[in-house]
Amino acid sequence: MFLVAGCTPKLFRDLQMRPATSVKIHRGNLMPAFDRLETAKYYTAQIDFKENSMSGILALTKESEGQFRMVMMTTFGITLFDFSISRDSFIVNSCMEQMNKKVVLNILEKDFRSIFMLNVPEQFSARYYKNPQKPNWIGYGVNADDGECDYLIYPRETGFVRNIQNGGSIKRMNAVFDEQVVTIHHPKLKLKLVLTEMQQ
Amino acid sequence: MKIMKKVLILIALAIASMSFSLQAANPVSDVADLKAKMQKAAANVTSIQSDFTQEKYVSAMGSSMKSSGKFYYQKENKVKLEYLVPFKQNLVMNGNKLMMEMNGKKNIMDASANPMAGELKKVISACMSGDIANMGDNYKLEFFLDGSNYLVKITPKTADIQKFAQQVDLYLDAKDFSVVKMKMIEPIKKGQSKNDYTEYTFSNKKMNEKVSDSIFVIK
Repeated sequence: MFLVAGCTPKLFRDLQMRPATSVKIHRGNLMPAFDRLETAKYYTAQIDFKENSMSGILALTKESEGQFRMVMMTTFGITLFDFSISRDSFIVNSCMEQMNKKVVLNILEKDFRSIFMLNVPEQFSARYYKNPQKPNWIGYGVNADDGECDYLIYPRETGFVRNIQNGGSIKRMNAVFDEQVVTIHHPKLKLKLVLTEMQQ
Repeated sequence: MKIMKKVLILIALAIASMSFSLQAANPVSDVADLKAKMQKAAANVTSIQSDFTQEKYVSAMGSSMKSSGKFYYQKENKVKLEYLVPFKQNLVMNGNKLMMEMNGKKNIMDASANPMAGELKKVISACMSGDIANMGDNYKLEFFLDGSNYLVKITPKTADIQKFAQQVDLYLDAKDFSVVKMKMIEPIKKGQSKNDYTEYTFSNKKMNEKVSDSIFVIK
């Protein structure tokens, strides 16, 4: 009993979910955030890093199937970064000098790969977690390209990804998706990004 | 009927030539005189209050994002952009300090400790207030008459600033030299064929009316 609980990722443990079996999943049956972008979307972005805060705007678009582009800028228009990301590539189209550091770019790349689910092939195996008391919630533990990644799905029929946890202790990321708000949190790095969809 | 057609064609040509002449920007012949007038006008401005709209065009998105709010300027060196739509946010520049505020969270930068932020603050502040005489030697200025406005094309000479702004187009009302529009054009990015830009348009200007010092407080 303790052994099972110990192996269960915290994300699923909090919902008293237990590992059920190993399953094959088709990525198309899941709905990660931003997956069904039809036009460019704009988000207000609040970044908190330790005691510092910064705000701006994140623009996001799907350039083609499986390829996304994101541009972060200050409110008054200066571009902070502009990335293109797909399963095979991560292109820095532009990035302000202070952020253009390998460690920062690696964290951002890994975060966005997990969020867009570009860290898994079209079909992949996952450990399946469930709680019979909460049949609409399901969890998938995945050995992704860049390490362990856990996806919490609700409601199960839609495949909507509500929560993601990835990474080791220092770089561990927790992303939460609500209707119009996305929160990406690195507790150990004291780094938090909150995106709120803007109604244009 | 044929005469009617000819008349319509002539009217169309006349309108086309009028709009062409409105669009064409002619270089100003006496730049020294214009600069002197601009400097005199700027010296007489103690404060500005206006509405503003901001359009940020992002080439990669193929669309632009619009916001609007209130603009405040007070001599010396105090600028505030109070964004009201689509969300509330403040940008305040006061002396050497710059503050961004959203959702009650503030980010304060000391421009004297960050030369790049300082330079950007100087450009934005000078352009929005129309006081471009003291921008220094780091910028090439070209002057044009564009319809009822003067157009000042500002090109940074240093690579550091060029990374952020390839050019700034500043439109000044030819009557009173107040700023009508400011367009900050970024360099073309990898994989793009068009420049991103941010365009500010100012309207309902009130010049030299009392602006409370409290709105520029940074703390």
